[in-house]
This record gives sequence, structure tokens and C-alpha cells, in this order.
Amino acid sequence: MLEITHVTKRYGMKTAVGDVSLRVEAGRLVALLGPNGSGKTTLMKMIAGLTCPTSGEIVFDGETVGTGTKRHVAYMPTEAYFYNYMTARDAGRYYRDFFEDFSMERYMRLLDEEHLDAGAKIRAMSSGMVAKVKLALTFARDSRLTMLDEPLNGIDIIARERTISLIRAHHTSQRALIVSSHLVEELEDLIDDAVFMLDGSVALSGTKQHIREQYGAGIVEMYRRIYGESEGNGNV
Amino acid sequence: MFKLLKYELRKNRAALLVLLAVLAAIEIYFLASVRAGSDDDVIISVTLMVFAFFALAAAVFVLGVSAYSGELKRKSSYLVFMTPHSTLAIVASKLLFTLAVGLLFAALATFLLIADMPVLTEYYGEWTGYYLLFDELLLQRGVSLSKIAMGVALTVTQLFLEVLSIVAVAYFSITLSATILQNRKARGLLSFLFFALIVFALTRISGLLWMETAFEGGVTISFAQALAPSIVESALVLLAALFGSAALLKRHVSL
Repeated sequence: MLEITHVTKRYGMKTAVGDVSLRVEAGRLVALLGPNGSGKTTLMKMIAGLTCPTSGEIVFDGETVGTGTKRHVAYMPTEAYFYNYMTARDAGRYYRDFFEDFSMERYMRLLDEEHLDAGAKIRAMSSGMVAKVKLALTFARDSRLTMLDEPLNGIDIIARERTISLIRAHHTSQRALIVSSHLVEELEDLIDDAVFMLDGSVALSGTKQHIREQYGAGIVEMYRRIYGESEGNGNV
Repeated sequence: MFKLLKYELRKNRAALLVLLAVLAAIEIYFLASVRAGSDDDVIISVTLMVFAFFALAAAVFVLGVSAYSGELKRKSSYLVFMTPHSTLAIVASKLLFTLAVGLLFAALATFLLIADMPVLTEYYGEWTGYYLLFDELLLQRGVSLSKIAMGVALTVTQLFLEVLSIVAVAYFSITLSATILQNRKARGLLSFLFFALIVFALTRISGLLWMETAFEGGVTISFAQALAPSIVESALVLLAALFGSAALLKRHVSL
């Protein structure tokens, strides 16, 4: 479904993503793991067609990422990205106007379940409420690939559990999900594959089972080993 | 692309309403001054109206440019660039927005001129005589109403194309700056420098290419001769800046 081949992204002298190659199949839930600045967001933006790779190629369903693939790729950025005038309902109308796979009915239901007022201005909402609006917009799409950038950031424990159950519900055999996070504990039970990013490169990737078999450790433990080492904190 | 235009108008609705409200206030002031017979207030209101027309022309440029530069600076850019539109369609929608606002203000200014001129000539009765004299002079020079209309249409077309081409050059400068500096600071300053350089170069080139046309054989013919090259030049600059911006956006700019 998604094939990333030797992708590099440079900003001037700085390499944000360096020579990354990955393959994601339909039905898989992939965790993109790593501390801030490890290249997770840049990689997601390239897959979403928001940033062009300096070199390498990203192909989605046989098509190089671009205008056409945006119809089937849903990306939830980590920041609030709405216009100042927008209410939650306006944001839904915007998505309805531009994405054929968007269901306004499902969106309104999701807002209702989260006890959000559709007529409220998004700019006046708390960061937790904005996070819920972003999730509702993303999950109201029937996209083939859904990417969530740090969906567990800035929300309380109840909202985290709710987000995780939404991710679970959205995880079907026809769709691939990529979730970036540095909150690994919450994701461990949920994911099929893990990609550990370090300084823009892939430090380790594979299925959860394969990693466990090969290294005798779970995702959380591997996270400690990889990033603990890189920060000079010693091996665990 | 027209959906993008719809959201561009919606996004700028507050700014547009403020501009229209200011214009409406000046018009009410003018009509009230005429009704009250206050010469001083009529002069002030007409002066304000003239200034307002210039301010509207400037507002078209500012709104048009900020619609694009804001898109590359703010996180709301995701809303536009996540949609399945080509970069060409996105840049074109911003230019269409500038055109739509320009047409709206031009129509409004024309309407106010047509509505207010009879009021003004009636207020200053002696002006009617000057109008009749001017008409007579034009007829003696063989200038008909249709020729004047054609001249006005050409002038308006040239004006719109020129404004749009300058806005498109501003887009190209902003995109070029974003390409070079990516997410670093001082992008605004570099954009301005590029814009100033390109406009200077274009002015020099147009000065070399087009000779001034003498007014011969009637005003309108001279208009056509003088304006046609300028229209072609503006159209070429507009297209080059539009396609150039779209190509740079696609390949180099990172949100």
C-alpha cells in the first residue's frame, strides 16, 4: 500500500529525514516512535504530500505521493490548523467540501459523543477539546491511510483512553494506520508494527512480534534501550 | 478551485465588511452633507471618497498578497494543502480571490460615481455647463461614445491585469523566499527584496520594449495602441509568476 524508498529531507544543512525506507501494508497499525526532533513529523508530512522529499520516492497504491493520493490519505497534524472564524461545524463543512470520503453525519456523532458543541469557535476551545475536534475530523473520513501525529499529546487520561478506543475502532483490514508518539506505554498493546526513529533515520523497525522474538523485549523496553543509549543514559 | 475561492472569501469576510462599512459611512456623510447644504462637509466627504477609492485599490493588493503569504506562514495552510488540489489550483484560487475583490470594489466605485455625480452636478449647478462644453469638444474631435467606452474597457482591463500581475509577482517572490529560507526567519524581508528587484527589472524591460504612442487619429485609437502591448506584457508576467510559484511550491516549499 505505502512504499517509502530511500527518502531524505534536508532543510539547508540539516537533515530532518535521512535515507528512510519503509513498507506499510493495508490492515497494519504502525507506531512511529522517537523523541522530539527525530523526524517523525517530517516523514508523515512527506507521506501526506505537504512536504516534498529532497530525494527518494514515496508511492501510495502505485501512485507517487501528490495531489491524487491526498484523496485517500488522512493526516492529523499535531498543531491546531483551523481558520480563526471556524466553529467545529464549519471545520466539518470544510472537510465535506473537499474530501469525498468524509461523513458529516459520523463527524457530528463523534462530536456529540465527546460532548463538544458544534457551534463553538475552535479558537476558543481548550487544547484537549481541539485535539478531540481534530480526531473527529480525521476519523470521519474513510481514508485508506490514516496518520495521526502525536494524538495522545495534551489530553487527559480519560481522553487518551477514548482516543485509543477510536484508533482501535478505525483499525480495519482495508486501512493502514500510522500513529506517531513518544508515549509508548499507551500504544504497545494497540500496534502491529513499530518504527523507531533516531536523528532522522530508522534505528529499528519490524513487527511487534518480530522485535520481541529477536531482542527479547517489548516496545517500551526497546524504546528505553534505543533512546536511553542515544542520550548517554546507558543501556537498560 | 472555486471551493477554495469560497473559503478565501469567507476567511476574509470580516476585513471586507469593514472596508464596505467605511465606504458606506462616507457615502452617508456625503448625502447628508448635500441635504444639509453644507459646502465644507460636501468637500470633505468628496475628498474622503477619493481617498477611500485609493485605499480600496491598496486593500485589494494587501488582501491578495496576505491571502497567500499567510498561507505559507500559518498552520492553517494544512487545511488548503491537505486537500486534493494541485499547487497551481491553490495559487490560482488566491489570484482569483484578488480578482473577485478587485471586481467587487471596482463595481462599487463605479456605482457610487454614477449615483453621486448627478447629485454633485445638481448641487454645484455651474458644473453642468462644463460637462456640456466637454461633450462638445469630444464630438468636434470625432470621438464617439462607443470609442470612449472601448477606451475605458481597455484601460480597466489593463489596470486589472497590471494589479493581478503585480500580485502574482509578489506570490512568486514569497514562494522563492520560502524555497531558499525554508522555515527560517527573515523570509518576509527576502520576499520584499525579491519583489522590489523583479518589479524594477520588469519596469526596465517594459521601458525598453514599448515605445510611447503619440495621440493621433482620435484618443481611443491611441489608447488601443498604447495599451495593447502593456496588456500582453501584464498577461505574460501573470502567467509566468503563476506557473513559477506553483512549480516552486510543489517541489521545494515545506509546510
